[in-house]
Amino acid sequence: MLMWKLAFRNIFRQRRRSILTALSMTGGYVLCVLSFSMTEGSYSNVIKIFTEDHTGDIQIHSEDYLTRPKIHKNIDDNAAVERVLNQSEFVRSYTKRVFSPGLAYAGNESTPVKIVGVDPDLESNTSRLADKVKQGVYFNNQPNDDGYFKAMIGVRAATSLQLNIGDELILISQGADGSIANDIYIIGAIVGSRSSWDSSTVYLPLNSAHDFLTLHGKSHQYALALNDSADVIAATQSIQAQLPAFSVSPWMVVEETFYKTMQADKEGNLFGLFIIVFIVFIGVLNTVLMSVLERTHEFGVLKAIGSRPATITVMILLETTLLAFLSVVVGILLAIPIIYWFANVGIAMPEPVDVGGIAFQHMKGEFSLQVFLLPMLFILSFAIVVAILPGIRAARVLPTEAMRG
Amino acid sequence: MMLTYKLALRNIFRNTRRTILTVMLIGFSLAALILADAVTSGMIKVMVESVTKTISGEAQIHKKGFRENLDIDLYLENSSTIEGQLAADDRVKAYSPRVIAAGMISSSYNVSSGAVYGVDGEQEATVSKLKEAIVEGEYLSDSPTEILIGRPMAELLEIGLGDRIVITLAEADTGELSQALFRVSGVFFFGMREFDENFVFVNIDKAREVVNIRNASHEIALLFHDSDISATDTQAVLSELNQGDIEALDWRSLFPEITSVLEMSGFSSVIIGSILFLLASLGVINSMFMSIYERIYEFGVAKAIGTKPRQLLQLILFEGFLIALISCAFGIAVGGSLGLYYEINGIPLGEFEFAGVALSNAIPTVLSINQFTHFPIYVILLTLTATLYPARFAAKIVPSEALQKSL
Repeated sequence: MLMWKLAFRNIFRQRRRSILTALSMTGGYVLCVLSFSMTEGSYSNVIKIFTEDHTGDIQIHSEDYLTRPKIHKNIDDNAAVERVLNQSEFVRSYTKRVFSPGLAYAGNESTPVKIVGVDPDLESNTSRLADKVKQGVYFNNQPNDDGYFKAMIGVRAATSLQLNIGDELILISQGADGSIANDIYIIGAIVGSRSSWDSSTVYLPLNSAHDFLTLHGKSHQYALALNDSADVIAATQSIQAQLPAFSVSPWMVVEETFYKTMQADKEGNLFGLFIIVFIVFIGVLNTVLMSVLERTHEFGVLKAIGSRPATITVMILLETTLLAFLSVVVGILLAIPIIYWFANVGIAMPEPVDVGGIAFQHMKGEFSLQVFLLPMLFILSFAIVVAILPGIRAARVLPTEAMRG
Repeated sequence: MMLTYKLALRNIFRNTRRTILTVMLIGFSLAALILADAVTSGMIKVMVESVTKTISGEAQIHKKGFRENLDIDLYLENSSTIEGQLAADDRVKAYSPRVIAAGMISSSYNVSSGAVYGVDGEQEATVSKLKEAIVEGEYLSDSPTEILIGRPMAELLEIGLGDRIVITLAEADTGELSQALFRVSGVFFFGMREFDENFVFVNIDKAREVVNIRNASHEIALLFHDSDISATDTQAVLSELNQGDIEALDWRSLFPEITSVLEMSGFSSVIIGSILFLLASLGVINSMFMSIYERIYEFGVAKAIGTKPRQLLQLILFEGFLIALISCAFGIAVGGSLGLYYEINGIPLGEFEFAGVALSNAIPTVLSINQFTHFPIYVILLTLTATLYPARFAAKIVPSEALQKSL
């Protein structure tokens, strides 16, 4: 208790110096929190967007379909996969899909498109496809009276083909058996925006897509939404163990380029923060050394009346950490409104920027305990490191010499 | 003045350790600033060049509306007239006309959609890196069945040199389906995903035949002699070309994404820079105060024997100035040597892909004269401003109190 009292009093002996030192630590802390919150927030925001939008948390493919898609690398045992998925405690919902590139025609216009076959009901439970319908209505797997199925089309493809709801669309592609696939669809809905990833995509009902591509009910991909996205690694391992015949990939593998870029960017940021905090603590070291030097005489007296060297070191450590802690408290108070603003409003990018294949449109902060706690540990540990040297120095003071001056 | 100078010099070396720590504080801030700027400039250079030097050129000419959907009907009918104009213009370094069509690219094993570029081999080599990007086989040599294909697409289609590729696309104006057979003559790899996965290159005459446009093209890519795109000369060329339904745009307008990354990084550099400065100046104020506190008695004496407050203010400011000078020398030495080292060796950033540009190789930093003139000047001005507060404090010292305190 005496130690705390002493440390506290010592801090306030040189008020201006303590305040200036504290301010620099507060500045360093706020900067760390801000940067940490922005990177965490922006990335987790964009991860949430693309996993919920289309990739799902986990995908299941046959062989290496993920890296080298080919129409005949398909999942041939739907029952086995679905049994595992239905039983898994992690999985909230799943959807199955088929993919193929194709040419789309309407009138005199033509454009290459990505053809994606999805099960209308499963898809709307798993991805945001149903929410992205801008015009028209979400499709179903029933043909209309003339025997035509509905298709949904991305904005860019719709514009270049000059298509509206109810228009006819001719698709040409290659079937799994090597035949030329072609069929007529009716535009039921236009989805997404110009900048969305699926702006050149045509969505077909899964049953019709299976026939169109002669896939006989086999799909290329299962996309899974989990109950809790944080379980993604555990869930991947559990499902992979039960389905050894297929490739189970978490989103980190599905969007590998993005994930690696994110890791590299986070490391870079951490390094930058380290440099700034390092600079801040040169100043702190200066202060601590100064205050130890000033008090050489006192330490001499303390030792002469029987204080142990360790006690003196601990006192210096305590002083510095206490000051750092006070700075962090002030920093938290300052950072809360800033981070709150960044978490709720954020900065919109003038143009979406492609980061490893994922469009970044919004820089957002994260408002969470770890955002405040980790930089705090960062600052406090730096404070301890910086105080050790002057602390040992103070402990080594020889009473006779110190009191002579 | 001479006396002030002498005094200041002696004062800052009275407590060498403190001065060294202060110099380190300011110097490292300056070095961090120089390095941060050098790294950002390096990344910007790589990004801009990956756009302008890889394929796109520094500017492009299109029919208005072509860029939105790559509409094959919007071709430049008078392409040869424009080309003649460009050939005669001595501000233009190189240009290359292109026929661009979106289509399906199929091998016997697989099919992919992509963009077919019809280019003139010789002219293209002056504008883009296509020729240098060939990793297997040969560059275009005017033979009609030649096709160059990106490595990832070749892997996807499971084909190699000499294998057949069929391209299916729609003819201009009529929309009729048109198919043509090619044999893979070369494989390229730019290291830019969008190009490597989606583009194939054929000879322009063959492309014109397949798309059925004579002498026309969809795009003309340009390089200028002056690579500063905002130069008045360069902009003049573009505005001369911008006529009627023809648009000539520089890369800043063609790739707003890159422009916005540049703006963002400029913005964040300013923020980081000012915070760094603020933190450094707190340290300076602190250190100056400590040195003044130690000398309160002396200042009291100095004042008692008739030194004017202005003189004391000058003295402290001069000390600050000297510290700033030494710090700048230190910072320039540290920042400059690290910058030079990384200019040669590059900073390894891990695998990075930003705005469609893969930055997997180490990025060389770019040092510029500004970093070594402007930044140190800012640092000196800032240190002086920070010193003003302790200096005023010293000037206001009341001799009677100061002399008493220290007794």
